[in-house]
Amino acid sequence: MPTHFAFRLSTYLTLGLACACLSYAEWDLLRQASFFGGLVIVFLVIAFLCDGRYELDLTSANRLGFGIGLAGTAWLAYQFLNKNSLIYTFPWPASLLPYLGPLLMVLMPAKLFRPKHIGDWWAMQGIGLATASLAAAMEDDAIFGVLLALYAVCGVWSLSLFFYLRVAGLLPPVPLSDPGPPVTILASTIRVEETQFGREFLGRALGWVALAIAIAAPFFVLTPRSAAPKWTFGQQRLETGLTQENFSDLNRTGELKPSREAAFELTINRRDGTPVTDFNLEQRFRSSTFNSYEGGRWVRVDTQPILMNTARLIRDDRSGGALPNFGPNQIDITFVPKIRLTEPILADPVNWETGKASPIVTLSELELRPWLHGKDGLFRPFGIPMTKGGVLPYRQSFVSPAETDLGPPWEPMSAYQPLGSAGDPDSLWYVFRNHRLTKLRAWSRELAVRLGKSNPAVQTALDRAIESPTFQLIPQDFEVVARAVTAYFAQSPEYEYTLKLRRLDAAADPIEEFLYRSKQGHCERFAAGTALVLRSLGIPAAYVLGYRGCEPDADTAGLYLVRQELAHAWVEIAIPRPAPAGFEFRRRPNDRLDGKPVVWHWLSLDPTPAEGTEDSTDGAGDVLKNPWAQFVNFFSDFIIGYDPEKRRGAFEAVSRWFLGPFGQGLIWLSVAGLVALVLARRHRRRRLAAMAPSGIVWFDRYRSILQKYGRPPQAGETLAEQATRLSVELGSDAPKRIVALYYEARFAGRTIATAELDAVEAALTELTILIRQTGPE
Amino acid sequence: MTGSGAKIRFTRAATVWTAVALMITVVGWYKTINLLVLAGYFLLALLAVNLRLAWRASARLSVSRRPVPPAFAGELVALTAEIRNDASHPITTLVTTASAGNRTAWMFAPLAATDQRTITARWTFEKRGRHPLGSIVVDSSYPLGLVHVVRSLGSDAAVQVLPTLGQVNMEQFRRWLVRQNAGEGETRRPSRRPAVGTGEVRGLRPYRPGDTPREIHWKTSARRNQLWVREYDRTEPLDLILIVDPYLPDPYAVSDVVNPKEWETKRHENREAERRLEWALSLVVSLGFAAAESDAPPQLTLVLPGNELQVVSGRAGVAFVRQAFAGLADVVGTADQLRLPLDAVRPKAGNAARVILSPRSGGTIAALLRGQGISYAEASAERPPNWFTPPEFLMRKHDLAERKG
Repeated sequence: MPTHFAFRLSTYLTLGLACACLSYAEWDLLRQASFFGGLVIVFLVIAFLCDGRYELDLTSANRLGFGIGLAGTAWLAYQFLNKNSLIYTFPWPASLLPYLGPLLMVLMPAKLFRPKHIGDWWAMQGIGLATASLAAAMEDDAIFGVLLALYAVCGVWSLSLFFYLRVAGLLPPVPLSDPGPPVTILASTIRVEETQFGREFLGRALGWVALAIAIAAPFFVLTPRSAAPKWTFGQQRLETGLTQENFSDLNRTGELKPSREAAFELTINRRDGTPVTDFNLEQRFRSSTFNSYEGGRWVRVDTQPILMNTARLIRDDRSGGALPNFGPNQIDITFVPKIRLTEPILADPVNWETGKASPIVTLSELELRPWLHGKDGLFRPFGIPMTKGGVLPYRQSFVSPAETDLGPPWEPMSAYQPLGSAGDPDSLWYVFRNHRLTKLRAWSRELAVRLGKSNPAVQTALDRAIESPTFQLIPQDFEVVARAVTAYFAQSPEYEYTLKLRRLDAAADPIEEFLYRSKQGHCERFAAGTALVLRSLGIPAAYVLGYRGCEPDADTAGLYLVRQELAHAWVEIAIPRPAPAGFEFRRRPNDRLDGKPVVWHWLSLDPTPAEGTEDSTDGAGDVLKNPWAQFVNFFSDFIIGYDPEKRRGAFEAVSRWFLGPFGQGLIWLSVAGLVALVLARRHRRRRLAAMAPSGIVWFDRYRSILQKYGRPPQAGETLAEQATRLSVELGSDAPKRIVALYYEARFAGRTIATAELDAVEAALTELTILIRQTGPE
Repeated sequence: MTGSGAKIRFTRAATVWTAVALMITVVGWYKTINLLVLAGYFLLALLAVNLRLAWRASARLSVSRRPVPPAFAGELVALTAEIRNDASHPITTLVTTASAGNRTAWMFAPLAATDQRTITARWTFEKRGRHPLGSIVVDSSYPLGLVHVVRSLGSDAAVQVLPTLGQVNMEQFRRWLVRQNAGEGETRRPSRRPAVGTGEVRGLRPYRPGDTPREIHWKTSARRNQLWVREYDRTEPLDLILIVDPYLPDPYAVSDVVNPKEWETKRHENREAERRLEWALSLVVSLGFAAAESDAPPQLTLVLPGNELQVVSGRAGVAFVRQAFAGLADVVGTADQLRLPLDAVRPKAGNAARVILSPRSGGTIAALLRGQGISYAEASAERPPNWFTPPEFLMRKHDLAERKG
């Protein structure tokens, strides 16, 4: 029987863990609630230590309750009056959720210092459950999962001890209820191990929790998932990955949490259909290109055409859009989107050639639909609305160039002034070189001067730059300066990579604040800062969002997964290069490099520090080495992130496994095991039936005594004959008396009187002693 | 007896638990909060675990009740049963039984596999009659107490409760008998020796009021100028034939009266008639018990007229009185004339005193014996003898003594 101490310990621990869950969940939302939770935990400790020595009478308790209620109402009223509170920040009525937490937790102290009956203990368990459930609606990381699991174990432990004390009548009953008769507690053994802390009950509670999880898990896995978007509570919870938004907001703060949600599934084959198993796992995939920055946000504005010639959409191809042939190294990448994005991803750099077929086709049910190459340089699905562009699968012909960061060459619209005149707002390049951060221009110039002191090529570029009307590098120097600036941000110890996005000055521009003050941020800030610095130096730069890297599927060759945690941002700049041999110009350019006409390329530059990219994601190798990482991934993927796609994938994986050799073996083993179990049970039942209790307790004890001490009946011997034989061997007629009485009770139907039963007891005792003395046969 | 016909009972807490679990699951599913979905399924799974373990805990218990001898009303009765765990695992469960307002409960925490324990309920039955013993109920809700699996292990046992014992002064009873001239009727010959038996003279003692004048030792009394009587060492057994007259007038019904005040009076008469019957029955057992406890227990014969005449005879002993007088538990008063064969009231051998114990004086049985010239003594509630203290007076004395103490 558990002690009252163990019961109280388990209950208070359960309540404390419920408060801890809610405090953890509310930390980022409503810090006051977390502090209040800590205060409640202190009260719990005090109440536990007081051990009922100090209790409030009814009047004092009512006064205290009134005071708490009044304070709570005033606090809530203040929140309604405060326009900056969460009530006005979050959508109604979800905005009330964080405020429910303190109101729930305050109920605990109200009950702690009062004499408690069974109903009060149930009420406290209910408050704990409500608290933990509220927390689960607001938080979902792995640490919270551990807290919730601890709460579940302690809760079951407490409930089991509550059961014992309640049934035994050791707790005050609910007033005005029938308390039932007094209970006499009996036990087969007196267990010294029933310690003050009820450890053995905790062990059993763990077993029951495991059993309950084993029962609940299949239902959880099998339950069809709602099509509603994943509940996200609180703006301040950020996850890595791209969204459906058509802008990039750098004003956000908070901690970015890696999301293991799958963004895309890739099937990569060669032209002959064989799967590619050695695909570059660091491959970049571009999604959105942004060319205008203001107030902490990157957006894309319409631009004038920049390409003279584009890749063509083959309209008259009756075969339905065959992909171009880029040579023997070409591979075909089929993208299956798992999330909805405004713009789809493509392997970077996107290969295309003027006048040739579009390298990307949409795989619709009826035909392959080639994508249109716009003169702004972007590929878009043709004939299918953009909103659906991220839903239907599509295929890209890709070949990795010698310079992996360099896009294909293209001829600009204006052969004579490809950059446009300086300061001309209608100029194409105005968009890619403009921003409104005046202070940044001077800062960027100073940075270039500093870089020039250690880099002669940069210094030469600065010497050749145009000073008037604004500072501007000449196009031939774009690449060298851009690479120097990129290397500076990537390698400088002044700048630190972190997923915890903070702003020291909320009024300042977030990029200026990053560049001048905080010097901490993630890839978006590094990329945006670099792009703006390059623009300040006159280099056309764009801000690109996409993904970097992919994971191979363990079971299927050629199948790769791109997860949201691999989302990345970088910069691309426009640079002139000598035209490759055989490039077909529409208009011969004015400019020349190395005696050759000039073509332009988009060059991708990644200023994010290398160790930051490793920290931001857990690669496959980390997962295998780190158990905590494994648990976090499992928790994120199969509990928090379990969505319809994962459910489908789980079903497919389970089906595949069961169809495999191990699965088949397990099925047959299970069948064999079931058959063996049924046969064993049948055998046991038959054996027990042969030894079935006679229905007369004292006679069964007689038989069990004989069995225990090795005096079974001989073959063909009746009970009476056995009794006669035993009586002779033991020198006592106790066996005969017992059997005679059994015959009368069993066959004559006589009711045995109490005195005769007492005599039977004595005979059994005598028999036991004699048998022990004589030993077994 | 092994359990069968289990009933599953959900507590109020279980109903709330289920509702909360379903609500959490639905809200979690609707809002795609997977943690809530998992938590809801977890709560429901715990309920299933509770049900399964409670079912398992109750399925393999067997009970065997020991027979209960007849008991006197107001006497503490020990009701014993053996509970055995036929399972291969320990069982934690609550066992209860109830009857006639008595309830007792035991909690096995736990009962080891194949172990057997004896449980004893000590009850008092305040009213005469045959009281069915309630089933032994196994109520298992292990381990969380949310779902109860209740099995009734069944019992058709009953305990016969005899009338409450009063107190009989056997000495005074003997003298009363002498005065009533109990014994053989017309064949009685005058005898110097009274019909009541006496033992050897032990000595003399001063006369006490109530002593029989025949025992006065005149010589000593004359010598000492004070009455002295003989004192005997041992009495010879006094064989008794106790004839019970279970007279109970037909009770008045409400329809028999015309106004409420009259009904109150009639109801009082009904109750008084029942009280007298119980008084008479109490007198029977008290007399039998006192005879059994006397130094020389006599041969006792109990005659119970009724639809089926019951005549029980044997040497008075406490066990005999309990068993033989068990029929008194089932006596139902009647106003009908009862059949009484005269052979039943004649002793098999030797002398025996016939005593009619009745709620009323001069009833039909007395008239029958008188008509046949059979001598008898009659004790009735209308004229209560001084050698009998009814149980209610004993209780009053006990209460007074307690208060004084």
